[in-house]
This record gives sequence, structure tokens and C-alpha cells, in this order.
Amino acid sequence: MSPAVDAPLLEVRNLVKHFPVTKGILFQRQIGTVRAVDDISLSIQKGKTLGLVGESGCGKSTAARTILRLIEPTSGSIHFDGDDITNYGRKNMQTLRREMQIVFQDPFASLNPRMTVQSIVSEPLAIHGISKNEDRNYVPGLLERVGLNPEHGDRYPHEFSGGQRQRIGVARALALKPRLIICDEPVSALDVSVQAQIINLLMSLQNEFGLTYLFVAHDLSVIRHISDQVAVMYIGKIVETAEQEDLYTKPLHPYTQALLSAIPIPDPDRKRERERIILRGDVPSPLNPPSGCRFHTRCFRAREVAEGGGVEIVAVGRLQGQVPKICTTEEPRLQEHDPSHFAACHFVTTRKVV
Amino acid sequence: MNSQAPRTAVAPHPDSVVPFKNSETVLEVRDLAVHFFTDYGVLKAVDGINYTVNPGETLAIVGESGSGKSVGALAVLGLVPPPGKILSGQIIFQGQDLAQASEEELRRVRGNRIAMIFQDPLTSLNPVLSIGNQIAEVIRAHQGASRRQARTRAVELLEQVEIPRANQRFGDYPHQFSGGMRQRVMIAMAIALEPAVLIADEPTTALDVTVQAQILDLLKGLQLDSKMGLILITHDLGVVAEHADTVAVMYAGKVAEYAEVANIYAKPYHPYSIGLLGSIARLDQKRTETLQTIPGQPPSLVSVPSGCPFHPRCAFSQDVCKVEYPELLPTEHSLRRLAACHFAGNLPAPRGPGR
Repeated sequence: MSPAVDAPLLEVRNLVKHFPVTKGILFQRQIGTVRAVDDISLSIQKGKTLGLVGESGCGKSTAARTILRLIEPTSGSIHFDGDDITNYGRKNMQTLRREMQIVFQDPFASLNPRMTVQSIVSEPLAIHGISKNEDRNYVPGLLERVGLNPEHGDRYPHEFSGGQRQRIGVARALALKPRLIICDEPVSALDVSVQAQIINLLMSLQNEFGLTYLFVAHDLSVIRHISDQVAVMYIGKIVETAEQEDLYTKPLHPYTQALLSAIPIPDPDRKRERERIILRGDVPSPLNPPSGCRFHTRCFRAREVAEGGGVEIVAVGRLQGQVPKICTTEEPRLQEHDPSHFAACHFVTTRKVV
Repeated sequence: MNSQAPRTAVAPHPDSVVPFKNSETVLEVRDLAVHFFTDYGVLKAVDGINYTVNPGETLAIVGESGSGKSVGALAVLGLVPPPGKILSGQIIFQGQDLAQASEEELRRVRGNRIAMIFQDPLTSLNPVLSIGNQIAEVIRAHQGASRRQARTRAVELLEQVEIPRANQRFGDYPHQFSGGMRQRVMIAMAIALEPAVLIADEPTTALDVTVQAQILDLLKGLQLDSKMGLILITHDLGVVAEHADTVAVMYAGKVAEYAEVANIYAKPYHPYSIGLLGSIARLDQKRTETLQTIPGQPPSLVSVPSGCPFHPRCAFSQDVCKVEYPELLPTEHSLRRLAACHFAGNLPAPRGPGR
């Protein structure tokens, strides 16, 4: 670690969240563990955006919620502005929550249908006993800032469209003037033309208030647009992390390469020139992740290396071909291959896929 | 600049000249209107749309939620749920007008000559029947095959959609499959009777990108083998660019632009298509500070704006746009390049871009 000129606002070290799987009603036996988040570390500088990306079930949302301590971590530590908050008690945590807020994916489920917009947005103020609500213009001002009509404070969520509801969710997150906002798939439920509006809003709010974002999404194009730094997750692990530009122009991990190449590009002329990597199979279950490198069951790079010879190889499964033995026995560590570009792969190569 | 003259009308949609029609055309939707008669008023989900499906080709129907893209497809199969009604128009499939067909006639076409797959394979599969039996049932119901024949064919189909160990998985239930695998099962069922047209309604929206790539690849392969016409309903312009031949962009129950894929991406004519293409974050272009947006929201279909339904959100709108609906007409004098805009190819200066 270089001496921090800009200290990170959020730092997560070796975060682990395992969920026990139990059987039986009266005498519950643990029959397995879902390794939702399995030893991840990340940090975000003040005023920057870290994009956390991965497919469904990779643990990205669990990671986000564990960082807010909405879910208690199994082990590891979370540091906010230099303080270790992992063991903060209720009271400390409540004070801290003013500083860290969340915007959820589904603007239909995350707003109470019986509350007016005014009361939804001012509820955080009431909970934290802040007298900003004495200023009668505070909430209307917020509504206006997120692009809603300030006179609509007495309406109910059902009177708004998906995009407008997401704006209400953003206004609620902003109400306490937090420093960190965790955005958990904030645009994936919205139509494309509305997605762009919300992304632009989030970026201009960041400039205006100096906000720091942890942006969780599965859409790599959206992540690229909004992030300074990107971390790619696969079954509970971070497999690659880099500056936004580096990750997209020279991805190192085969999973990142496959993910990028799978994204259809809205340009019919480009499709012929692009190399498409089609992965076989589905994401394995985090209940019983593959040994060694978790990606080896689907990895094209491992098969490439195995074919090239010169390494000890093993057959995996009946239809899955041969991979280097090391991929099945040893978990690759996240290593720095280029300046601040980390990847966890035994056989790193770069490949142009976009 | 405001004195821009609206385009002069070419021919008012002559019946004899249908866009994209050729001698092999299997399905033709003409002036189809589907309205829902609700307590809140008449919801004009589909309001006069035209499209053509040719064998081996993929027609993409693109639009945002509520644009009527799914309802139009359901109407083709005679599956419009009440209080919806096909109000007018023709659905000509292999010479037969399905809009006039009886329930009995429709049943013979549905699932047999025209099949459909849906966004969410879990809700479209029966949870208490094994997937093999569900596929076999389709074959037995429509082809009167014996149990044994149906089973053999079902296993073949599972192999065709690349489900590993198809024979062993015949007896498995939907919950034992992942999302991508379930969608493969749905596809196996849809192609069981070798339909002439397959309608895929957001087939990959619920799936991860790596699985989406697999499924679209599979559909493409099946189409090459069978010359099946595919209607791909989606909101993803990337998917359209990579997998479709022609595209109809829908807005508020109408087709705003209809063209070959290569042309529309290179030069969209309708301001809505322009806005839609501009508003997506793209991997292949330099990152910009702000994305272009289309201001406002899509309209409610109960109260569609007068004239051109897009005019309240359009940066180019003029007085004529508020009163007169621009028909879907050829631009560049081509029946393969249509747009429904008074100023197609001749847009006035915008009033403050991306407002």
C-alpha cells in the first residue's frame, strides 16, 4: 500500500459473509455453507466511484449490504473514514448511518406505498432527530434537485413512473447529506431512456456534493460510464480490479474478457470484427464452489493453456475438457500485474474484446 | 429554421406494396389495432402497426415498457387477454387471416405453426411435471405420436438445444434447472413442431450476459437449420444490432421507424430512434461526461398525446406535430426504410439538445 495522500473513505479488508444452510426443524443441523462473499478487499477514495460488477449470485449485493452492516459480516473488517466500524454498537452505528445511505434496485418495493413523497424523503431526518425538517423548503428543494416537481410532495409513490420513483429513492438517500451512497442496481429496472436520466443525475449529484459511490450492477456498459475504478466478482471473490479505462481496454482475467465479449454492442458493423467468447454452462452454485480457481469449470483460457502443453493437465468432468492441474488445486491470488491492475489468474494474458 | 416544410406525402400506404414483403413472406401484420377497454378508459396498446416476417430472418421489435411491443405479438397468437380486443387489421399467416380465425383454427396454428417463448421460463413451465413430459406432451397433442416416439423426439430436442446428458435430464423438474437451462427447455418445446415463425418475447432479459450470449447463439443456429422466421421482442439495442435483420421501433402503440438493422444504426430517421440510440452507455465508444437523454416519460396509453405521440418529448417538434399523426412512410424512396415523422430526413434545428 502506498502512503495514502487521499485516504480512502471506505476500506474493506478480507470481508467474508457465509450463510449457513440448515436442515431439520427442531434440531437444526448445518448441512452446508453458502459462501456469498468469500474474502474480498476493496477501497474507495473520497469523491470517487467504485463499480462492483458480476452476474447474479456472485455476491455483489451481499457485499454491499454487509459493508453497510445491514447484514453482519462473518469475518473481516470495514473501515469508514479511517475508523474500524466492524464492531460498532447500535448507537454508534445509527450515528454513522447518516454518513452512508443506500439506493435500491426496485423503486416499487423500496418505497412505502402508504407514505407521501414528503414523508418518505423526510423520514430519515425524523429518525435521526435532525431539525432540517423545520426548514419547510428543505424537502421541496431536494425534490427539485433530483428533478421532481417540488409541489408533488403530497403525492403517493403509485402516482409516479419507475424513473420518478427512483428519483424519490435518490432524494431519500440524499436527505441526511451522506458522504457515501451505495447504489444497488439503481437503474436495472428502468427503461433505457430513463436509465440515462438517472445515471446523469447520480453523476451530477456526485460533482455537486462530493459524494462517494459504491455502484453495484451487472451491466458493464453502465458501470463503465459511471465508475472510476471497477471490481469484477465471480462466486464470492474479486477476480479482477483496475482503473475503469484499463479494465475495459486490457482486461486480464478470462472471466472479465468473456463478460465483456458477451455484451452486445449496438453497432451492426462491429459484430463481424469482434471476437466472441461464449462461455459454456452456468455459474456454479456458491454452496459448493469449484476447487482451486472457481472459474476453471467454464474457463476457455485454462483449456487454451492445457492444449498448448507444457503444464500438468487434468480432465474435469465428462464434457468439460482438460485444464492445467494448478487451476483445480490452487486458488489464484489477486496479484498486481500492471500498476493498480489486479487479477486472480494463474495464466494471465490480455486480450482485446470490446 | 422553423419554417422547415414537412415532408410531402409519398403514397398513403398502398395495399399492394407492403414493406419488406417478398414471395416467401410467412407472416404479415397489417394495420393491426389492439385496444383494452378498461375502467379508466380505452387503452390503445397497439394502434395500427405493420410488419412482415420472412423465413430465416429475424425481425426485432424494440420499444420501452408500455410501447405495445408484446401485445402485438400476443395478438398474432390470438392470446390477447380480456378486456383487450383486436379492433381492426389483418394478421396474414401463410395466406390465412388469423385476426378472423376461430378459436379452433387458432389452436391448430398456435404452438404448432407459430410458437412463442417468454421472458421468464420459470412461470411458463409447469412446476409439477418433468420437463421431458412437458415437451413430449406437446408432440403427442399436436402430432398424435405414441408415448415412446414422443419421448425419443423430446430427448432429441433437448440435445438440439444443447442440454448436457439429455436422456438423464428428461425426468428432471423445472426447479432443478438454472435460468439459462430452463430457457433452453422452453426453446426445445417451442421448436418441437418445427414452427414457421417463433416469437421470442424478451427471451434473455432475465438472464446473465454470458448466458444471454449462449441463448441467442442457439436461436441463431436453430434458425439457420430450419429457415424459421423469428420475431425478437426486446428493449436491448445491442441484442438487436447483433442478431436481427430488420427492426421495428415502437412508441406508444405505433411503429415509429421500420428499417434494416444496418441502416437504422448508421442513420436513424425518427427522433425517438435517435434519442434511444444516444441514451445508451456504450462499451465501444469513448466515455462522455453525460449521456444524452430523452426528456420526460413515455405517455400513458390511455391518454396518448395528439398528433405525433412523441411530440411532447421531441426536441424537433413543430406545430404540425401536435395536430397531425405522421404516417409510417418510406424515406429515401425505399420500402425498406420507413419512418413516421413529419420531418424524417429533414429535421429542423433542435430546441436545445438533450434538454
